[in-house]
Amino acid sequence: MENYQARFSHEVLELLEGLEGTLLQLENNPQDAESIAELFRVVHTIKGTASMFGFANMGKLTHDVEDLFQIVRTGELNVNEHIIKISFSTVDLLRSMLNSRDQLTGDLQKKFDTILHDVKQILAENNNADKTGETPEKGRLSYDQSMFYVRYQPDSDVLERGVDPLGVFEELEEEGQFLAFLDLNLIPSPEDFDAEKTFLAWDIFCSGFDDQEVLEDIFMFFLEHEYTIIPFKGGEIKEIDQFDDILKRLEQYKIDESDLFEQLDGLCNGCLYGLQEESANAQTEEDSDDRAEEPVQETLEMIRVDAGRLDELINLVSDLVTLNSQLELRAGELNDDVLQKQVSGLSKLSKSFRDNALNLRLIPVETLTIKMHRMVRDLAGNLGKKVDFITEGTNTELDKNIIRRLEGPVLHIIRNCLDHAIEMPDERIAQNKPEKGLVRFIAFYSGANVFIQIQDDGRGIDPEKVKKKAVNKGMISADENISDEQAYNLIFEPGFSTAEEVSDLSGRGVGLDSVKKQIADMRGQVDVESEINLGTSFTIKLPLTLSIIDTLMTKVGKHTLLVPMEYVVKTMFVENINKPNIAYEDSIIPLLNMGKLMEEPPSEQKMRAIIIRHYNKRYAIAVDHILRDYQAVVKPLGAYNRHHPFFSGSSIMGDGSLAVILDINRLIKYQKQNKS
Amino acid sequence: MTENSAYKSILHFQLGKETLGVEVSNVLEVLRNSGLTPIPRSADFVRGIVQFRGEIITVIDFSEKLNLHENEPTSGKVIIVFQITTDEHAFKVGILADDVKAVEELHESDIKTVDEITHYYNPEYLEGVVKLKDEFVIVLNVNKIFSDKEIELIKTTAKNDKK
Repeated sequence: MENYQARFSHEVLELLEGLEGTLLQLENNPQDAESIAELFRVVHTIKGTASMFGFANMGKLTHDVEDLFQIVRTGELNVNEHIIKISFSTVDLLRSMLNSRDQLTGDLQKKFDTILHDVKQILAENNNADKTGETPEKGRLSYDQSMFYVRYQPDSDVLERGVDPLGVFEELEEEGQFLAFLDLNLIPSPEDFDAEKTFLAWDIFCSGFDDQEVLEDIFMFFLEHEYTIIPFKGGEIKEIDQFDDILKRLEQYKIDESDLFEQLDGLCNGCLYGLQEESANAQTEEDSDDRAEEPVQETLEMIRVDAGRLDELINLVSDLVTLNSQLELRAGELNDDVLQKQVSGLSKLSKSFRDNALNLRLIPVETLTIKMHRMVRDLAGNLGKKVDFITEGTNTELDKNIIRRLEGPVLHIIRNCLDHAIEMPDERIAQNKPEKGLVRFIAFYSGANVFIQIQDDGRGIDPEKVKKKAVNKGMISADENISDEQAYNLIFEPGFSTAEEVSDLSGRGVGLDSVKKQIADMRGQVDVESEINLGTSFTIKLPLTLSIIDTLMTKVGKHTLLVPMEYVVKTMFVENINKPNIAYEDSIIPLLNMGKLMEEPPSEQKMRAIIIRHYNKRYAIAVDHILRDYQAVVKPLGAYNRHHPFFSGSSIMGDGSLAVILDINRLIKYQKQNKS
Repeated sequence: MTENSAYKSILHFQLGKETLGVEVSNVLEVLRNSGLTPIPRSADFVRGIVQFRGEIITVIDFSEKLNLHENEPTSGKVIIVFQITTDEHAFKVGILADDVKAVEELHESDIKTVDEITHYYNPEYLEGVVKLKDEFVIVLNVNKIFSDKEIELIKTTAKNDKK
């Protein structure tokens, strides 16, 4: 059951995200028939799966909202702000209900009731306006229609037989429409529960099947006593065999006779109320739409894979690469031509294997944009601001682990843009700016990095104000002369917040310093540029993947130290490593002696320095030797070293020894702390 | 894992002049120590890192960790690798030892609570004490020793280390 619910949650979350995207589109283009059809389809699917998995409240909610979309789809009602608002609330509520496992705890019940009430009201108003007041005849099935009731109760050992009890639902979906209720009464008490057994049963109503044989075929892997099919033929439903028994069984789902008729009516497109003609037309229309879309779906065939399995694959591939370079090293010593050839073939293979495996984990940044659109929409509304939000380059791909960790920082920056940068409409007009503010999200590749820019055309950051504030907060001294660029970077320092009034949405105690930290944790950098009254641009630079990095292999005493290549500017010799600074080009830059930091006895020989660039500042890092460049598979340092002051990982070298990976961000922070 | 069985398998090992015990269910493997890679500026009891099944694991010195200052330093000939699963973390960690001795199957009632020696060991870390032949063996609770609280403490000591 746990598994089923996880699968269900996952599916519904994905559907909800799609739904949100569709709603945003519909809001911009309320007449868009395609979006409306999509909306209806998704709500319908959620409804079906919810009741199938025993989420009765979610089933009820989606059922009612589906009714609403039904009249929108048939054109009886036009999409308006109210409907969009209800739809968004529904999406939010469904998410919360997924978390609460369908329980209407806390204020969920209130939200639930509000939505149902609103929907009912719209439906009632619409009915009054449209209908001539005749009540359709209920519970009568026309003679050319047929429906089926199936009681489906697989044996508890069905999994051992190698049959997936949920498989039938996929087939039912393919062949027709169905409405399923999950019966949880057979689940034993926890002490008798056996995770390898199945204790689920369903009550299913099916429509759109030509005859009983089609249904029998779907259940062909199940034994005769595991399912019972009762056909409903034309006429009074109440008169069919065992109808009372069926109704009784449905009581547990809190469904009474009239509810049942209503739901069944929805299932067979109005055949129970005699309204089928109009709806049947809508149905065929939808059918033909589906057919037109089919070829597109074929070319975009996807396989869903558990992310954990992908991570496992990457780990295995990393080990393979390591082992391969060990083999390469050994083969080089052996002077065997045939072996050398084979090993170099293997090397090529394992490298492309690795690249392929890493590619599997790349996903487009587009997955972030729905959340962003939604936030901009809600926040702008709350703040009374008008904002256009534009995304570019959303097919740029990044490691899914980076995307996941990027969401927080990116949303934070956009929130700041709306909150602080974009002015109120009248203020903008007074400044000869367009009334609507503009926020752009741009993603693009450059080298082994992905850049993400978030730009706005708001009021910009005033470097003088920033300096004043920094002085007030004691972050810099009043006579310190810093450039505008340095001033902008002060906004990323802990304890700095330029917002004069803290809105309840951003600046909840966490500022841009946490953004900077979260991005640094992904080996990324964030920069800001701004011009007063023209706008601000945040640029986030990220590595494509977190698992493999280009490094410079160096020696410090007995240690092998790997320095991430992306920071390296050049290398040079240094004469005196005991000074805190050295001359580089026409300035004096800090010198960090790694030997001393790594508690190695001082060495006599001339040292090498690696010049690195970190946020437009240069530093020299002194090491004993610089060996060569090295592609390192990054491994975590292990327990108790996770918060090491300047290492963030290690790598297994070709000869099986271990090297440590320098974390430039941490090193510079450490150096600053120890200097003061 | 059969937690509720009344029997426990205890691995005995030599650490300096002490014989200590740990529950076998936590032990992944005992390795011969063929060299550690030291990590400068890590916690005092961290002796270095080592590769284990493609992962990097931290190796620590129990004498230092448990404040057994009267104990002889360990030769560190072997590394006992543990799988630790706490509420928030799951990780592998190794400890240095001189040698591993037998694995004994003991009834729970054989593991006595400790009173007299508590001034010597942090009582939180102890599972109990067992008598084995003529020797008293302290049985350690590694899950407690490597608890989340412990890891958090390390975080702060690492941060305070700015001399």
